[in-house]
Amino acid sequence: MKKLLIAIFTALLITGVLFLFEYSKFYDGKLHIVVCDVGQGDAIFITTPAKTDVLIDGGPDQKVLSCLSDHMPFWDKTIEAIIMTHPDADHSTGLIHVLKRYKVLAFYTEEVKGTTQTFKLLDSILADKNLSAKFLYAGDTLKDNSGMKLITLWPTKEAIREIVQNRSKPRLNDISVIGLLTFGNFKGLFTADAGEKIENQIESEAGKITLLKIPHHGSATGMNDQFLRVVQPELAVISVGNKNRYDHPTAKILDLLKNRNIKYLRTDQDGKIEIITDGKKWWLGP
Amino acid sequence: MSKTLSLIFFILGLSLALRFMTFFTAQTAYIDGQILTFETKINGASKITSKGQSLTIDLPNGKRSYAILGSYPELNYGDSVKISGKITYFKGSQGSKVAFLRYPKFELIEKGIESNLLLSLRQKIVGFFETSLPQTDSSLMLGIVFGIKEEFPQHFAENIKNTGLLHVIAASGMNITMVGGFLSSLFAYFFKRQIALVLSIGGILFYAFLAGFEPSIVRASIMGILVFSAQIMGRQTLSFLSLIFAGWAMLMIKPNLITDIGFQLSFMATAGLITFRPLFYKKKKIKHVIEKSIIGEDLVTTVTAQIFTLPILLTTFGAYSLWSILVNALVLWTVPPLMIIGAVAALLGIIASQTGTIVLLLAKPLLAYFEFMVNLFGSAGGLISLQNLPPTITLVYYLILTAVIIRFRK
Repeated sequence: MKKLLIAIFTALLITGVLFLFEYSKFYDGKLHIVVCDVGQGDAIFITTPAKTDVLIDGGPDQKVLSCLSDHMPFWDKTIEAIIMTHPDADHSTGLIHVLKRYKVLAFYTEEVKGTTQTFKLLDSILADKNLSAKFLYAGDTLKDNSGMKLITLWPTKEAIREIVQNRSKPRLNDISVIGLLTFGNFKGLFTADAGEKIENQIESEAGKITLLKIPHHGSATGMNDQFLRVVQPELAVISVGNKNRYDHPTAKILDLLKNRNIKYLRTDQDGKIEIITDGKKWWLGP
Repeated sequence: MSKTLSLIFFILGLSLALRFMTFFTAQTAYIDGQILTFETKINGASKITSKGQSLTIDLPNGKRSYAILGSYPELNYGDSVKISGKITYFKGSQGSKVAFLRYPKFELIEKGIESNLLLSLRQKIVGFFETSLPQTDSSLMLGIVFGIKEEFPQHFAENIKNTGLLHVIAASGMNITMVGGFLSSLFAYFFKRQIALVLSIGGILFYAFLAGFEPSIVRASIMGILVFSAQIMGRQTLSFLSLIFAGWAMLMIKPNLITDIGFQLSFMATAGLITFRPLFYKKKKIKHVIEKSIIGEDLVTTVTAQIFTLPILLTTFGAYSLWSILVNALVLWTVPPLMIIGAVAALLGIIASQTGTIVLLLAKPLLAYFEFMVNLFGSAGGLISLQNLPPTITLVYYLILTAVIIRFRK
């Protein structure tokens, strides 16, 4: 009996030490942005000094889960908000795994529904969890106590109406949710899979930014030089799979970045990319 | 060996041979491109990716096929489903033909969790573990405690395989033996030996119940009970005979089991634990050393199980890790406490999930240690790989083992 008590006490003690260790490691008062290495797809995890966890897209499979475990303390199984930029499978499938394993407080997406089986499954899991998707339109802002703001720049209600009316099969990429994150002086632009015409419409509102998530995994039609001239990012990140069948990122996009001397990182070569900021300076995580 | 025993073995062997002949000659083989329509029961977890859900499916002829299907509706363990599609074959890693169903039509006939209380209990436990712990931790716990297979991060899955620890996260007789041993020594504090034994068997049956009486768990439980009863009662011959009989009965009911790796590993490891392990305790001096050292018991158990399953490991995985015995000895002691914590937490979790979560978090130190060891040795190299182990060598290997046991038992 004595042995059992000693064992339980030791377990409690070590768990406590682990708790303190992870608490000081993860709650460091900085804002962290992690572009997860999920292969061909997008999954971006943001955690703020107010302990708000936001996940933008979930990638094509369960790989997002280990990215979350690596950047959240072991007892934290709550994600405050998920933003699904659009229902394509390489952005949404991982969210199925996340919804099953995490308590998600709010689920945001754009208005047009997907038609795929993946989307149906996602919809049924949302229903199981009593979560109803909230739609984001340009102008909507999510914020928390740390001063972090996530401003929706796209889609506008008009754009959605136009796209739904004009095409039998809507181009979901062009109504992707585009979000601008601001925290102190830091500005990060998350462009999902939108095309260059859309980027040119939101560029002036975004203004000069710190971090750019390159649109559509570096597809040739994702952005142009005009866009880069306006937003002038200090760092660009490309979320892309190794040897993917689309040949993303394209030479055209990489050349645009090189010509403007913009430093870029890509998940297929650099693995996950972590950007840390205190609102004044930013640096890369380990 | 007495005459009666020889006669019993002869009869068992003959009946089994006859059963095999009739079963395997009656088995139909499908040709490449054949279209099949059949009903089946889902027997594992599906993996969901952007391509759909992939899983293995039991075919009407008793064989298994890989399948990739559309992701809606999601198929879960125990669901009844009607499938119709074209079967094709591709070459597997060991040169064997592997069946594959590519996007067949399918229809969910009955959801397992809606018709079966045990399945819904199992589902609840899986959900509770997965919402309480990070992915690696929860999959590890579900594997160790219930033999339930859930997805691991890829690199961790590889490291587990490389370090020869797959048996720990599968339903194996060894896990059950260890828990039996742990429970019986705990109960032995309070009760007489026989009562402690009965209570421990009760504990094992309780595990089997929580795991939904999955066939592999039931098999493992039977074998596990045999071994640790033998250890306590000291009646090895009787246990060995019961093991042979249990194996015989399982194969008579389901001859296909002979190709099931879980069955092979479980059976051989158990045979080793019954017959070979006691040899280490023959000499007083060695016995003393084993009992005094911290990992001595686990080391003996590991070495025995490894010696008895080596040919199976080599033929199945084509590789064997030099670190295997060391890693096993270093982590096996965490298995019984993890199983106890897991079972208590699961029980609490079903009733009051937050209290359950707190108990479950107590497993974190052991899990962190386990994962650290797996990742440390998993990436350390030291893999021996081997293509095609000839069956004669396997046979000779086991004959030599038998000879060693007979020689040293005296």
